[in-house]
Amino acid sequence: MDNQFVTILEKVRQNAARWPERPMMIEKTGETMRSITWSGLNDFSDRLAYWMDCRLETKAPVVVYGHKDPMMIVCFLACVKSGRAYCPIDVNVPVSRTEAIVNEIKPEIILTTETLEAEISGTVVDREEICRIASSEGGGIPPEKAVGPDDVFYMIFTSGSTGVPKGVQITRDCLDHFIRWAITLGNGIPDEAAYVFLNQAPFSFDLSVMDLFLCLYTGGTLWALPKAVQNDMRQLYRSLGESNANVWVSTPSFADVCLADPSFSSELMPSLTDFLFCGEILTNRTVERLHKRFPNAKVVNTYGPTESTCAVTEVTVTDEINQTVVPLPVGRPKPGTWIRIVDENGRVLPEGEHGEIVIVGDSVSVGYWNNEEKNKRSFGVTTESGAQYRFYRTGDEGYLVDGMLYYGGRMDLQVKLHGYRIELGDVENNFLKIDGIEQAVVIPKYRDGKVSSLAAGLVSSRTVEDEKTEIANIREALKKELPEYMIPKKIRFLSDIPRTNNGKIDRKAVGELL
Amino acid sequence: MEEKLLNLLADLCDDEEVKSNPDEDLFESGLIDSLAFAELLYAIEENFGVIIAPSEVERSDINTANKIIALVKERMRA
Repeated sequence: MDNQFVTILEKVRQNAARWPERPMMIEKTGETMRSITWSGLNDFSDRLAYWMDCRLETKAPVVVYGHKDPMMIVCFLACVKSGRAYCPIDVNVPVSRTEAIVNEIKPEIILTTETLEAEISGTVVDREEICRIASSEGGGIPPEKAVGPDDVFYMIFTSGSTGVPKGVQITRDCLDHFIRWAITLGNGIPDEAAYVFLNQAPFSFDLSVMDLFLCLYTGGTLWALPKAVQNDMRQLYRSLGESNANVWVSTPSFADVCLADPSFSSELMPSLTDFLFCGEILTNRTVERLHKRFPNAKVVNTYGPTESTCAVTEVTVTDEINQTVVPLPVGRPKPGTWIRIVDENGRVLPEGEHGEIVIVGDSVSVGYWNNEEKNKRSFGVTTESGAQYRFYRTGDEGYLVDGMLYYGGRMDLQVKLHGYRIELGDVENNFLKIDGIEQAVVIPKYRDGKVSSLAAGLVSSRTVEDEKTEIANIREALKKELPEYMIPKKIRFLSDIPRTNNGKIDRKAVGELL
Repeated sequence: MEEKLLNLLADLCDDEEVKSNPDEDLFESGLIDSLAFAELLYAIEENFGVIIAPSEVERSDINTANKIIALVKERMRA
């Protein structure tokens, strides 16, 4: 890290001292508003960190459970200020998945801002208690207690093929390297701009790292869109208008949802200067519509898996690029990151050839939590520009043209749906847990070159009498195990699963049946 | 026009079943989510020249294939 760069925790302290009364986060649902000021954020998290430092016996990561309550950010910062990593879990994650994550981490405490009804070990500290600790007198925390450059700062879980989610560990250095680059995206975020950042993604989805940390670093205000607002179009447009947001961070899908209404334009959001997209394929059509509705805003496409801290490549999609390049590129790597395209033997391929995208650089995760086997397969160390860097095999297919990266989809059974990573095997394994299901195959359905939904073919161990009711029951059972976005839209019973000559499941043939 | 709209819907739902069951609640059955819904409105605008703003209609007014068809017809007449 160079000398001019102030690290994230130091910057939060400086911002709080400079703009104590500025709102750091606002969450509004209907007429109910919750917000926190910069000084509130800093003082509350200091006291909560002090309490954790005095009370806790281990340095185990802390689970933070909730939705878009500003107290979530207080909890995140308190953890890292006390030298512990935090692991955010959104309320929309089903109970059984939350239990699986908690079982993996075995946290000493779980900080909750919403009610958590799960059977878990570890002490649950509820919102009332958090607020009591955070507003009690005294209790500062010395900066030396905080997580160091090589310590894990946060851990975000992603879908695993066996049905057990994997915890991606991101260190403070990874995050700082990411931020140093992210503040230069699009028009760039000046230090004293007091920008408003739109937060669409839940905190357990690493897309939120972009808006949250750009906001924390540059002393801005985070305007959160809770799920209830996102699900109610009238409230959504009202909230977007009210936000006065300068920087938009979302999946392209969410922008598509907003574009459905003609009112979504620079008239509704006159201060908007940048759209920062990540998490899924950005199509030319989406960009074309955004350019028309927001003629003065820049549209930035980025790419990166959770394993390399949110994003590592960027390109501003100009009118010219949008009209001449199909599909759109995902951009050039940030400083400190190198992109290699390799063949199945790990040999680097020349420009233009398709292969697996390998990310080398200073924001690559130190590995999955407690998963040596997967770490050996996906992570390693290599030399680049005379120094040692970690690398990560993404499992994404791609190619380079003049140093510009193009994304070509997944090489394995993982898909991206509305920005969420889904292991098809994970969904299949959860079908098999349901009584009466013998075999399950889940396949992606495509529209405009993008996964639009999942479909499932099931083989029942007994005779199916009322298919409709059975499928409705299966859907209900699956909802208890998996997040909504992982539930296939179309579920059908098949008499048997088509297989290829060598006995493997013929996914293409299953696709034709569904 | 009805057939064209039903085909559009079947395509967006990734399921032909909407055609045989046009009174089914598309949101409750999980056939359509907010993104597919946004795409549907875009497709309606492109194919029929009818603009439906999601902020001006209640979800309960457009939650089945038949209700969508009725609304598009009404707007085309207007």
